[in-house]
Amino acid sequence: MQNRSVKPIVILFVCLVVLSFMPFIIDPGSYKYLYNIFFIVNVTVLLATSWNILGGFAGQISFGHAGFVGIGAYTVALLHYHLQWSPWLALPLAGVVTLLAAVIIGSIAFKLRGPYFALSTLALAEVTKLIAEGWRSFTQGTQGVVVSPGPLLSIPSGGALYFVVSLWLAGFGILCALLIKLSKTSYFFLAVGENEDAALSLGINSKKYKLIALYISSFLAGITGGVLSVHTGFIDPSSGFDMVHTVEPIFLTMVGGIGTVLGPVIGTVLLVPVGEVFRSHFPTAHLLLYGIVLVVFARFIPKGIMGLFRKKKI
Amino acid sequence: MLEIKGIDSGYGKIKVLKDITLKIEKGEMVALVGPNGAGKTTLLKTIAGMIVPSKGDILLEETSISGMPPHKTSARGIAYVPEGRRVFSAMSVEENLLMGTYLKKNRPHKTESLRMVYDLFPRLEERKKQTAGTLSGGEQQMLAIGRGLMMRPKLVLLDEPSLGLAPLLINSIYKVLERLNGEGMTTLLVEQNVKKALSLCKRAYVIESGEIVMKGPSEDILCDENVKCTYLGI
Repeated sequence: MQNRSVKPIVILFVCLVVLSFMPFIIDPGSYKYLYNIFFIVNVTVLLATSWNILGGFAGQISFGHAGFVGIGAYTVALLHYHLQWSPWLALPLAGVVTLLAAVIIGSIAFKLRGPYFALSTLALAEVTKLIAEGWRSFTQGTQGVVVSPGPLLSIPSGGALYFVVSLWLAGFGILCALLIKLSKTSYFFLAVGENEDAALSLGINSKKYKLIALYISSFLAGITGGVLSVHTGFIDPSSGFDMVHTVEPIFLTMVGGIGTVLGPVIGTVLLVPVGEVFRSHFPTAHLLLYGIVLVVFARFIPKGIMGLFRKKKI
Repeated sequence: MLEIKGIDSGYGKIKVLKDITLKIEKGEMVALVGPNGAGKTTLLKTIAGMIVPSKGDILLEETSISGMPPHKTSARGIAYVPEGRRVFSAMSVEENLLMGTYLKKNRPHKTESLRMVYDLFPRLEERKKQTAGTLSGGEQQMLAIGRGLMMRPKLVLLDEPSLGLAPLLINSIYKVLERLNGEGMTTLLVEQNVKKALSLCKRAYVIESGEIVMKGPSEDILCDENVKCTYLGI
């Protein structure tokens, strides 16, 4: 690996280590609300990054991320409920199971292209939700499943633990995006996303790259779902498969800068805290705020905040 | 080099091509002309493997490539240059060209191939660091052709290189095609610009509503009364 590629990874690592000391500086016990927002920001960074790998890097717009989040959330909840697994231990499996689901979903959805692919992912996400609702003996249907996380390696679960875990998971997501962006693969993703026919005519196996992007994206989205269900302590079809998990990452990525590594991070860090504060004063009105911001960006700054600094590739 | 034996092809249930037979010898530049919607692009896409023919066979150097996916046909040496200048607009000119060396067998020749393309299109060398999306229409067409040539193909399928270009640019593109023809590049040139295409290629096929209605030396086709009044407006 060249020097050029190592530098951003080192910076990322240093940021993660420094931020990990946050609980020693700001006491999670007395700032519960703040740590709640921190957690939401971290998890949303992970989800938006996951969406961006598929939608931004490879140009395959997904409306189905709620499905991946839901599958990940239920994987953790059901392993805990049926087999009494620790939800923490089940977290990696949330990614793996979601990836396996993506193998099936990808084989169906990638028969279509462009907007038709996007719509089919929306439909498939709804199907997974219906399965979660209908398969009562296994998922408890609309009753939902309770998850009680317990300690991780004798660290009691609480604000500090959730913060650090979600921070490093977000860091893992960014690392994945960074490694793709710094590799040759990102060019093939870009080529396939921008013009699949032209890519095919050059001998690029477009299906292969679309599937790679989907698998990485679904794995990260599944982990997002898993950590969400650990944090909430309860999962039901309408919260796990909530359309917000599809809409929010798209929105935040668009605002931050689609197809860039930092775009989803910047979009999330800037907007989610504002949205959360807004929400606590005017319930559901944050969606109105998001809507206005999105319209303004789509109209005036379509490349997002990162687009304003055009030169940097990351 | 390329032999198409009685293929039927189309999109799903819609049949576009009926019983197309066509042959291109090594080193030959052959024109395929016809009106809008005649099936010219469909034929190129079928040869490139983007559409699987429902009947018939396609042979490249005596081996069947019929039904092969596009990334396999390009590995066999077919370079399809799609119409409408499909460049990767977010990449630089040179990055676009280097995408043409995706296949492993083309990578060792990377520098040579770049040299060759820059010699053909000096304009591309001047703009190699520029984002492809900011090129003019003519430059994008040069880039699309150059990217295809980076694959060191045995056969080039060129889809309407003159589409939407100013006459002056058409001329400069055709000069390059003439040079490639002189160097013995085997090419199937699809055009609506009948006059241009027939003046360059020695042999041509005329396609109408999915069928080859005429074939032969370009002079004969140019003299044909029917062709004259339908395509040339004389």
